[in-house]
Amino acid sequence: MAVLTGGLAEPVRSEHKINIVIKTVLASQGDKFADPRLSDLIRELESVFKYSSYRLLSRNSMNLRMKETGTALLPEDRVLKITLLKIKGDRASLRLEISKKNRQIFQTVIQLLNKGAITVGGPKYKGGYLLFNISNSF
Amino acid sequence: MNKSKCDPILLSQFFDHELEPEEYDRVSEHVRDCLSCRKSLLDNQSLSGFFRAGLGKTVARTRFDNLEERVLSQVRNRKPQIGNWKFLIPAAAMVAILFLVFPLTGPRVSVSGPSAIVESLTGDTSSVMILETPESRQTIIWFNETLISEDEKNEVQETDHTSIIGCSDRRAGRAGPVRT
Amino acid sequence: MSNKIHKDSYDEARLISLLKQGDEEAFRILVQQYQSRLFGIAYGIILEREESLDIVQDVFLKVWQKIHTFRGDSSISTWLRRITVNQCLNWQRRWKRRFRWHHHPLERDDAGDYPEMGTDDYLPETLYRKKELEEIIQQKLGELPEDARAVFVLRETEGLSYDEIAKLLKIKRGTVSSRLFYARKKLKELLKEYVNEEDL
Repeated sequence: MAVLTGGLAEPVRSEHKINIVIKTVLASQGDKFADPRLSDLIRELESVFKYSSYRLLSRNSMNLRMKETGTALLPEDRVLKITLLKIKGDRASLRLEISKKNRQIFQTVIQLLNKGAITVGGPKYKGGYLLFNISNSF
Repeated sequence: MNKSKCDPILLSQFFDHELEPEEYDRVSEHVRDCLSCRKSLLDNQSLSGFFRAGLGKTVARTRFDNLEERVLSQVRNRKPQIGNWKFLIPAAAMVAILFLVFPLTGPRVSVSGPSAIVESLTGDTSSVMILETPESRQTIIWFNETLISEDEKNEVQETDHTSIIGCSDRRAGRAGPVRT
Repeated sequence: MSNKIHKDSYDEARLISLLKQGDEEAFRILVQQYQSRLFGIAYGIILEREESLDIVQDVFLKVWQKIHTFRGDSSISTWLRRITVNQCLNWQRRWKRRFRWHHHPLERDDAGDYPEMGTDDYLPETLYRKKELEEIIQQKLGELPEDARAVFVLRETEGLSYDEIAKLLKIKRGTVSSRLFYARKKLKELLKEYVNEEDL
């Protein structure tokens, strides 16, 4: 579902490169379903959310260099742009921008732990909610 | 309250046995002769009966699943509390919290901290919540995609303060912004 | 004398004393003793099972942390009830100001509703009607303003007097009376389309 086009933005300024994986998950109530490809993630999410079903809609990865922006196309004309701003110690500073139909919904700058993940969720989709699990390693 | 005049509030107090004896007797006398008040009292009784029965069933069906152990384990593992885990906060309020909780010069990198430190967050969403999973402290940003109005939008200011907010220490399967 | 407390020999003063010493066994007894009751209050006000469980959990957490502040001016049940109601009302206010993430209809769970044989209740139609009404009342209760709902729930679930409710909610006795009257009147109006003459 998501289409990735890495390296659209600025020229490479550093040899730092990170690998980012985006899992688009549909969480919903109703029939119980735990996508086996999401077992670790579901364990985490279940401690906070109470959905009965978690389905992996797509899994995409991108390699980003410093100041580079990768774009993931998400369901219903949503777009997730990820920019690598810097790497300091064990954390990569990333800008995440989510827009829908060319209107920016929100933008956040996070410091993501190496081999760590953040889940961004909230959009309603097909009777449930979309979650975007973004993990990185460098 | 006499034979000709019904007083629904007095009747309600009569139903609840909240009247002084004298007044109680007066209402009682009225009720004997008043069909509509008798009907109203019966309605109150049925309402009460149905409500209690329904609630009783809900309580009976509810599994508390070692509630005491969960609370005790929370207490034992409790870290200094930043605030309620359930941050149901609009962007503007969150910005304020970000500012209050961590100073500008606060530590920007913490290896043992949450998976992601949220440095800034801006946008037109009507509310945003940041929380962490209890065990591995995985950060979750939950936003309401409903866009805020122009007026509300003016209140939302960007912040650039390093921050960790939200602290989830609930038992699995109970906490979270869902299933209301 | 043993420092232990047993469910069978439940003694409030002793329980409180042990709780103040951080006795976990005493805490377990307290939770088991009051969880259903507090849940009933919370559910009546919040009308959502999981959220109500969260509230009850919060209440006990608060009790564990604040038991040293309990002076014994009222009974522990009054104290627990007060914390529960406050938690519920704060919860409601928070939700109201923000938004609800989901709308979750009242749960329908058919387990455990077996009627007594040989009674009118056994007639499927009667049974269905009763169950339906019980559910509708809970639904309609959600349409009442929270202050009226809280008064109604405290009266119905705990059987509190007007004075007790007034003290608990820090409102006047007359306000309790009018809110209760309003709650019943409104509920009857809301239920009008669902009930037959013989139901209510």
